[in-house]
Amino acid sequence: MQRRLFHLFSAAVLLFLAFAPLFAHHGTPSYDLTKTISTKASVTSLEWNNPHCLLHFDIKDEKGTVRNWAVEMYNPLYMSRAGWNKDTLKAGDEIEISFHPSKNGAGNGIVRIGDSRIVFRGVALSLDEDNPVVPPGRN
Amino acid sequence: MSIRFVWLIAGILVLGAFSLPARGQTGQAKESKNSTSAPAAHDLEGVWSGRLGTVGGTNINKDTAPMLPWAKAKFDYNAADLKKGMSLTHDPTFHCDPTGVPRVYSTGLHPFEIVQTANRIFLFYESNHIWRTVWMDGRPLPKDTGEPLWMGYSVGRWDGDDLVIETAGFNDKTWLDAAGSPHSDALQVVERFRRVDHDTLRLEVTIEDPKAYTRPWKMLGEFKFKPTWEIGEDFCLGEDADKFVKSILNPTRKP
Repeated sequence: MQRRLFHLFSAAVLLFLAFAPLFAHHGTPSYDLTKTISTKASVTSLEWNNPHCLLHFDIKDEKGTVRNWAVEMYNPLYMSRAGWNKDTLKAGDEIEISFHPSKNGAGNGIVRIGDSRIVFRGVALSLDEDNPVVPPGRN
Repeated sequence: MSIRFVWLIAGILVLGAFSLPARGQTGQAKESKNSTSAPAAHDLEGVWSGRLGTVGGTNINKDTAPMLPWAKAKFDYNAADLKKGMSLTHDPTFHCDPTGVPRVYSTGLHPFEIVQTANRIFLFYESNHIWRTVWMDGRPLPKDTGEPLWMGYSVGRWDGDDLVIETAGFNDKTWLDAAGSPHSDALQVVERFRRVDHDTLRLEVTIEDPKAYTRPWKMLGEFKFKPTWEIGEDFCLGEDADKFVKSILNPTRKP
Protein backbone atom coordinates (compact mmCIF):
# COMPACT_ATOMS: atom_id res chain seq x y z
CA MET A 1 0.00 0.00 0.00
CA GLN A 2 2.82 2.34 0.93
CA ARG A 3 4.60 1.72 -2.37
CA ARG A 4 1.46 2.47 -4.30
CA LEU A 5 0.91 5.69 -2.36
CA PHE A 6 4.52 6.67 -2.96
CA HIS A 7 4.02 6.16 -6.69
CA LEU A 8 0.75 8.03 -6.78
CA PHE A 9 1.91 10.91 -4.63
CA SER A 10 5.13 11.37 -6.50
CA ALA A 11 3.36 11.04 -9.84
CA ALA A 12 0.94 13.78 -8.90
CA VAL A 13 3.63 16.05 -7.53
CA LEU A 14 6.00 15.42 -10.41
CA LEU A 15 3.29 16.20 -12.92
CA PHE A 16 2.94 19.54 -11.16
CA LEU A 17 6.68 20.05 -11.10
CA ALA A 18 6.89 19.40 -14.81
CA PHE A 19 5.17 22.70 -15.36
CA ALA A 20 7.05 24.65 -12.72
CA PRO A 21 9.46 27.23 -14.06
CA LEU A 22 13.12 26.37 -13.94
CA PHE A 23 15.08 28.72 -11.73
CA ALA A 24 18.80 29.19 -11.47
CA HIS A 25 20.05 27.68 -8.24
CA HIS A 26 20.19 31.05 -6.55
CA GLY A 27 16.78 32.09 -7.78
CA THR A 28 16.00 35.03 -9.99
CA PRO A 29 14.27 37.66 -7.83
CA SER A 30 16.50 40.43 -9.07
CA TYR A 31 15.42 39.92 -12.68
CA ASP A 32 12.16 41.03 -14.22
CA LEU A 33 10.99 37.77 -15.75
CA THR A 34 7.84 39.41 -17.10
CA LYS A 35 9.95 41.60 -19.38
CA THR A 36 11.87 40.41 -22.41
CA ILE A 37 14.23 42.57 -24.41
CA SER A 38 14.74 41.32 -27.97
CA THR A 39 17.44 43.09 -29.88
CA LYS A 40 20.41 42.92 -32.19
CA ALA A 41 23.64 43.23 -30.25
CA SER A 42 27.38 43.21 -30.68
CA VAL A 43 29.33 40.84 -28.42
CA THR A 44 32.13 42.40 -26.38
CA SER A 45 33.18 39.31 -24.43
CA LEU A 46 32.16 35.87 -23.19
CA GLU A 47 33.21 35.13 -19.61
CA TRP A 48 33.56 31.40 -19.15
CA ASN A 49 33.45 31.07 -15.36
CA ASN A 50 31.60 29.61 -12.47
CA PRO A 51 29.01 29.97 -11.24
CA HIS A 52 27.53 31.44 -14.41
CA CYS A 53 29.02 32.23 -17.78
CA LEU A 54 28.43 35.89 -18.61
CA LEU A 55 27.86 37.30 -22.06
CA HIS A 56 28.78 40.96 -22.44
CA PHE A 57 27.41 42.85 -25.43
CA ASP A 58 26.67 46.34 -26.72
CA ILE A 59 23.21 47.44 -27.73
CA LYS A 60 22.90 50.54 -29.84
CA ASP A 61 19.61 52.39 -29.48
CA GLU A 62 17.78 54.36 -32.17
CA LYS A 63 19.69 57.51 -31.19
CA GLY A 64 22.97 55.72 -31.68
CA THR A 65 23.75 55.54 -27.96
CA VAL A 66 25.64 52.40 -27.08
CA ARG A 67 25.05 50.62 -23.79
CA ASN A 68 26.93 47.58 -22.57
CA TRP A 69 24.99 44.75 -20.94
CA ALA A 70 26.00 41.63 -19.03
CA VAL A 71 23.71 38.64 -19.28
CA GLU A 72 23.92 35.64 -17.00
CA MET A 73 23.91 32.18 -18.59
CA TYR A 74 24.55 28.74 -17.07
CA ASN A 75 27.69 27.21 -15.58
CA PRO A 76 30.50 26.26 -18.03
CA LEU A 77 29.89 22.52 -17.85
CA TYR A 78 26.20 22.95 -18.58
CA MET A 79 27.02 25.31 -21.46
CA SER A 80 29.48 22.75 -22.83
CA ARG A 81 26.80 20.12 -22.81
CA ALA A 82 24.55 22.56 -24.68
CA GLY A 83 27.23 22.79 -27.39
CA TRP A 84 29.14 25.93 -26.34
CA ASN A 85 32.79 26.52 -25.55
CA LYS A 86 34.68 29.61 -24.43
CA ASP A 87 35.21 30.68 -28.05
CA THR A 88 31.65 30.21 -29.28
CA LEU A 89 31.10 33.97 -29.17
CA LYS A 90 33.87 36.53 -29.42
CA ALA A 91 34.23 40.30 -29.42
CA GLY A 92 32.65 41.74 -32.54
CA ASP A 93 30.19 38.91 -33.17
CA GLU A 94 26.77 40.18 -34.18
CA ILE A 95 23.94 38.35 -32.47
CA GLU A 96 20.21 38.58 -31.88
CA ILE A 97 19.32 38.05 -28.28
CA SER A 98 16.14 37.86 -26.20
CA PHE A 99 16.72 38.15 -22.46
CA HIS A 100 15.16 39.30 -19.19
CA PRO A 101 16.62 42.51 -17.73
CA SER A 102 17.35 43.12 -14.07
CA LYS A 103 14.82 45.12 -12.10
CA ASN A 104 17.21 47.87 -11.07
CA GLY A 105 18.21 48.95 -14.56
CA ALA A 106 21.88 48.30 -13.91
CA GLY A 107 22.50 46.77 -17.31
CA ASN A 108 22.31 43.13 -16.24
CA GLY A 109 20.05 40.40 -17.47
CA ILE A 110 19.56 36.68 -17.68
CA VAL A 111 18.88 34.12 -20.38
CA ARG A 112 17.06 30.95 -19.47
CA ILE A 113 16.17 27.69 -21.09
CA GLY A 114 12.75 27.89 -22.71
CA ASP A 115 12.14 31.63 -22.80
CA SER A 116 15.32 33.20 -24.15
CA ARG A 117 17.24 33.12 -27.38
CA ILE A 118 20.71 33.79 -28.67
CA VAL A 119 21.04 33.61 -32.45
CA PHE A 120 24.41 33.78 -34.18
CA ARG A 121 24.83 33.57 -37.94
CA GLY A 122 21.29 32.28 -38.25
CA VAL A 123 21.77 29.51 -35.70
CA ALA A 124 19.81 29.53 -32.45
CA LEU A 125 22.45 28.53 -29.90
CA SER A 126 21.17 26.11 -27.30
CA LEU A 127 20.53 26.94 -23.66
CA ASP A 128 19.48 23.34 -22.99
CA GLU A 129 22.10 20.77 -21.98
CA ASP A 130 19.69 18.01 -23.00
CA ASN A 131 19.39 19.39 -26.53
CA PRO A 132 22.77 20.66 -27.70
CA VAL A 133 23.25 22.68 -30.86
CA VAL A 134 26.54 22.85 -32.73
CA PRO A 135 27.43 26.53 -33.12
CA PRO A 136 28.04 27.76 -36.67
CA GLY A 137 31.54 27.79 -38.10
CA ARG A 138 33.55 30.93 -38.61
CA ASN A 139 34.58 31.09 -42.24
CA MET B 1 -15.20 7.44 3.17
CA SER B 2 -16.54 10.72 1.83
CA ILE B 3 -17.34 11.11 -1.84
CA ARG B 4 -14.77 13.93 -2.08
CA PHE B 5 -12.07 11.58 -0.88
CA VAL B 6 -13.08 9.07 -3.54
CA TRP B 7 -12.82 11.74 -6.25
CA LEU B 8 -9.43 12.84 -4.89
CA ILE B 9 -8.10 9.31 -5.13
CA ALA B 10 -9.63 8.91 -8.58
CA GLY B 11 -7.98 12.14 -9.69
CA ILE B 12 -4.59 11.06 -8.38
CA LEU B 13 -4.99 7.68 -10.06
CA VAL B 14 -5.72 9.37 -13.39
CA LEU B 15 -2.63 11.55 -12.99
CA GLY B 16 -0.64 8.50 -12.00
CA ALA B 17 -1.85 6.53 -14.99
CA PHE B 18 -0.66 9.25 -17.33
CA SER B 19 2.72 9.82 -15.76
CA LEU B 20 3.85 6.41 -14.53
CA PRO B 21 5.75 4.29 -17.01
CA ALA B 22 4.96 0.59 -17.00
CA ARG B 23 7.05 -1.26 -14.46
CA GLY B 24 8.34 -4.29 -16.30
CA GLN B 25 9.75 -7.37 -14.69
CA THR B 26 13.47 -6.92 -14.04
CA GLY B 27 15.61 -9.53 -15.72
CA GLN B 28 18.21 -11.29 -13.62
CA ALA B 29 20.95 -10.84 -16.22
CA LYS B 30 22.91 -7.59 -16.08
CA GLU B 31 21.57 -5.36 -18.82
CA SER B 32 23.81 -3.22 -20.97
CA LYS B 33 23.88 0.44 -20.03
CA ASN B 34 22.25 1.41 -23.30
CA SER B 35 19.45 -1.12 -23.08
CA THR B 36 15.95 0.20 -23.24
CA SER B 37 14.63 -2.80 -21.36
CA ALA B 38 14.40 -2.90 -17.59
CA PRO B 39 17.72 -2.59 -15.71
CA ALA B 40 19.10 -5.36 -13.52
CA ALA B 41 17.90 -5.23 -9.96
CA HIS B 42 20.01 -3.09 -7.60
CA ASP B 43 21.79 -1.36 -10.45
CA LEU B 44 21.72 2.42 -10.17
CA GLU B 45 25.13 3.05 -11.70
CA GLY B 46 25.63 5.89 -14.08
CA VAL B 47 25.34 9.63 -14.51
CA TRP B 48 22.00 11.12 -13.53
CA SER B 49 20.68 14.57 -14.28
CA GLY B 50 17.79 16.27 -12.52
CA ARG B 51 16.86 18.10 -9.35
CA LEU B 52 14.71 18.24 -6.23
CA GLY B 53 11.49 20.18 -6.40
CA THR B 54 12.27 22.93 -3.97
CA VAL B 55 14.25 25.60 -5.73
CA GLY B 56 15.29 29.21 -5.55
CA GLY B 57 13.01 31.49 -3.64
CA THR B 58 10.04 29.29 -4.32
CA ASN B 59 9.40 26.26 -2.19
CA ILE B 60 7.48 24.12 -4.63
CA ASN B 61 7.25 21.28 -2.17
CA LYS B 62 4.30 22.15 0.01
CA ASP B 63 5.18 19.60 2.65
CA THR B 64 7.75 21.79 4.45
CA ALA B 65 7.09 21.35 8.13
CA PRO B 66 6.48 24.26 10.47
CA MET B 67 9.71 25.53 12.00
CA LEU B 68 10.47 25.96 15.65
CA PRO B 69 10.89 29.64 16.58
CA TRP B 70 14.71 29.81 16.42
CA ALA B 71 14.62 28.05 13.04
CA LYS B 72 11.99 30.45 11.72
CA ALA B 73 14.14 33.39 12.80
CA LYS B 74 17.11 31.87 11.03
CA PHE B 75 15.02 31.28 7.92
CA ASP B 76 13.89 34.91 7.93
CA TYR B 77 17.50 36.03 8.17
CA ASN B 78 18.58 33.65 5.40
CA ALA B 79 15.79 34.83 3.11
CA ALA B 80 15.98 38.53 4.01
CA ASP B 81 17.37 39.60 0.65
CA LEU B 82 14.31 38.25 -1.11
CA LYS B 83 12.21 40.97 0.50
CA LYS B 84 14.48 43.53 -1.12
CA GLY B 85 13.92 41.88 -4.48
CA MET B 86 17.47 40.60 -4.63
CA SER B 87 19.05 37.21 -4.91
CA LEU B 88 19.97 35.70 -1.56
CA THR B 89 23.44 36.76 -0.47
CA HIS B 90 23.51 35.03 2.91
CA ASP B 91 23.69 31.79 1.00
CA PRO B 92 26.72 29.83 2.27
CA THR B 93 27.29 28.30 -1.16
CA PHE B 94 28.00 31.82 -2.44
CA HIS B 95 31.30 31.66 -0.61
CA CYS B 96 31.89 28.08 -1.68
CA ASP B 97 30.74 26.24 1.42
CA PRO B 98 29.72 22.62 0.68
CA THR B 99 26.02 22.19 0.08
CA GLY B 100 25.24 19.50 2.65
CA VAL B 101 22.44 17.01 2.07
CA PRO B 102 19.90 17.13 0.46
CA ARG B 103 20.79 20.45 -1.14
CA VAL B 104 23.52 18.64 -3.06
CA TYR B 105 20.66 17.62 -5.37
CA SER B 106 19.64 21.23 -6.01
CA THR B 107 22.92 22.69 -7.15
CA GLY B 108 21.76 24.36 -10.29
CA LEU B 109 22.05 21.98 -13.14
CA HIS B 110 24.95 19.71 -12.31
CA PRO B 111 24.55 15.95 -12.64
CA PHE B 112 25.80 13.29 -10.25
CA GLU B 113 27.17 9.80 -10.72
CA ILE B 114 26.49 6.61 -8.80
CA VAL B 115 29.26 4.02 -8.58
CA GLN B 116 28.60 0.76 -6.75
CA THR B 117 31.31 -1.43 -5.26
CA ALA B 118 31.11 -4.54 -3.09
CA ASN B 119 30.55 -2.79 0.23
CA ARG B 120 30.21 0.87 -0.67
CA ILE B 121 28.26 3.10 -2.96
CA PHE B 122 30.00 6.27 -4.05
CA LEU B 123 28.00 9.32 -5.03
CA PHE B 124 29.99 11.80 -7.10
CA TYR B 125 28.36 15.19 -7.49
CA GLU B 126 29.73 17.40 -10.25
CA SER B 127 28.97 20.60 -8.35
CA ASN B 128 32.04 21.58 -6.35
CA HIS B 129 33.49 18.11 -6.83
CA ILE B 130 31.67 16.73 -3.81
CA TRP B 131 31.59 13.00 -3.16
CA ARG B 132 29.96 10.86 -0.51
CA THR B 133 30.55 7.33 0.70
CA VAL B 134 27.50 5.23 1.51
CA TRP B 135 28.50 2.19 3.58
CA MET B 136 26.57 -0.87 2.38
CA ASP B 137 28.19 -3.45 4.66
CA GLY B 138 25.32 -3.59 7.11
CA ARG B 139 26.80 -1.27 9.71
CA PRO B 140 24.27 0.85 11.56
CA LEU B 141 24.41 4.62 11.66
CA PRO B 142 26.93 5.32 14.43
CA LYS B 143 25.59 6.97 17.55
CA ASP B 144 28.63 9.19 17.62
CA THR B 145 29.95 10.32 14.26
CA GLY B 146 32.66 12.51 15.80
CA GLU B 147 33.22 16.00 14.44
CA PRO B 148 30.09 17.43 12.83
CA LEU B 149 30.30 16.91 9.09
CA TRP B 150 29.29 19.02 6.09
CA MET B 151 27.93 16.03 4.18
CA GLY B 152 27.16 13.73 7.12
CA TYR B 153 27.95 10.06 7.57
CA SER B 154 25.92 7.69 5.40
CA VAL B 155 24.90 4.06 5.58
CA GLY B 156 22.67 2.33 3.08
CA ARG B 157 20.69 -0.82 2.39
CA TRP B 158 18.39 -2.27 -0.24
CA ASP B 159 14.69 -2.32 0.57
CA GLY B 160 13.35 -4.44 -2.26
CA ASP B 161 14.61 -2.57 -5.32
CA ASP B 162 14.85 0.73 -3.44
CA LEU B 163 18.18 2.07 -2.25
CA VAL B 164 17.69 3.61 1.17
CA ILE B 165 20.44 5.86 2.53
CA GLU B 166 20.44 7.19 6.09
CA THR B 167 22.69 10.09 6.92
CA ALA B 168 23.43 11.84 10.21
CA GLY B 169 26.28 13.63 11.96
CA PHE B 170 25.77 16.94 10.16
CA ASN B 171 27.00 20.35 11.18
CA ASP B 172 24.38 23.12 11.17
CA LYS B 173 26.07 25.35 8.60
CA THR B 174 24.21 24.39 5.45
CA TRP B 175 20.81 25.17 4.00
CA LEU B 176 18.40 22.39 3.19
CA ASP B 177 17.39 24.19 0.01
CA ALA B 178 18.12 27.33 -1.98
CA ALA B 179 15.22 29.09 -0.23
CA GLY B 180 17.19 29.19 3.01
CA SER B 181 15.50 26.46 5.07
CA PRO B 182 17.79 25.91 8.07
CA HIS B 183 18.58 22.81 10.09
CA SER B 184 20.30 21.85 13.33
CA ASP B 185 23.05 19.33 13.99
CA ALA B 186 20.32 16.84 14.94
CA LEU B 187 19.36 16.55 11.27
CA GLN B 188 18.89 13.08 9.88
CA VAL B 189 18.20 12.59 6.19
CA VAL B 190 16.79 9.52 4.49
CA GLU B 191 17.18 9.24 0.72
CA ARG B 192 15.10 6.59 -1.00
CA PHE B 193 16.07 6.01 -4.62
CA ARG B 194 13.85 4.05 -6.97
CA ARG B 195 14.76 3.35 -10.58
CA VAL B 196 11.27 3.36 -12.01
CA ASP B 197 12.51 2.53 -15.50
CA HIS B 198 15.87 2.28 -17.21
CA ASP B 199 16.19 6.01 -17.70
CA THR B 200 14.39 7.40 -14.66
CA LEU B 201 15.50 7.58 -11.04
CA ARG B 202 13.14 8.98 -8.47
CA LEU B 203 14.29 10.30 -5.14
CA GLU B 204 12.24 10.78 -2.01
CA VAL B 205 14.08 12.68 0.71
CA THR B 206 12.82 12.64 4.29
CA ILE B 207 14.06 15.42 6.55
CA GLU B 208 13.92 14.69 10.25
CA ASP B 209 15.18 17.42 12.56
CA PRO B 210 13.20 17.65 15.79
CA LYS B 211 15.35 20.58 16.94
CA ALA B 212 14.22 22.67 13.95
CA TYR B 213 10.94 21.28 12.59
CA THR B 214 7.77 20.11 14.28
CA ARG B 215 7.61 16.91 12.19
CA PRO B 216 9.49 15.10 9.42
CA TRP B 217 8.91 16.34 5.90
CA LYS B 218 9.75 15.28 2.39
CA MET B 219 11.21 16.51 -0.85
CA LEU B 220 10.80 14.71 -4.16
CA GLY B 221 13.01 14.70 -7.21
CA GLU B 222 13.55 12.94 -10.49
CA PHE B 223 16.72 12.27 -12.45
CA LYS B 224 17.29 11.07 -15.99
CA PHE B 225 19.95 8.58 -17.03
CA LYS B 226 22.68 10.14 -19.18
CA PRO B 227 24.73 7.31 -20.68
CA THR B 228 26.82 9.64 -22.87
CA TRP B 229 27.68 12.21 -20.18
CA GLU B 230 30.83 12.32 -18.06
CA ILE B 231 31.02 14.28 -14.83
CA GLY B 232 33.26 17.31 -15.42
CA GLU B 233 35.61 19.08 -13.05
CA ASP B 234 33.87 21.82 -11.14
CA PHE B 235 35.33 23.68 -8.20
CA CYS B 236 33.86 26.66 -6.46
CA LEU B 237 36.64 29.26 -6.33
CA GLY B 238 36.58 32.09 -3.84
CA GLU B 239 37.55 34.64 -6.46
CA ASP B 240 34.75 33.56 -8.82
CA ALA B 241 32.24 33.61 -5.99
CA ASP B 242 33.27 37.10 -4.82
CA LYS B 243 33.22 38.46 -8.33
CA PHE B 244 29.80 37.02 -9.02
CA VAL B 245 28.25 38.37 -5.86
CA LYS B 246 29.69 41.83 -6.50
CA SER B 247 28.95 42.14 -10.18
CA ILE B 248 25.70 40.27 -10.62
CA LEU B 249 23.92 39.77 -7.34
CA ASN B 250 24.62 43.23 -6.03
CA PRO B 251 25.10 45.22 -9.19
CA THR B 252 26.18 48.82 -8.97
CA ARG B 253 27.32 49.09 -12.55
CA LYS B 254 26.36 52.33 -14.21
CA PRO B 255 25.07 52.19 -17.75
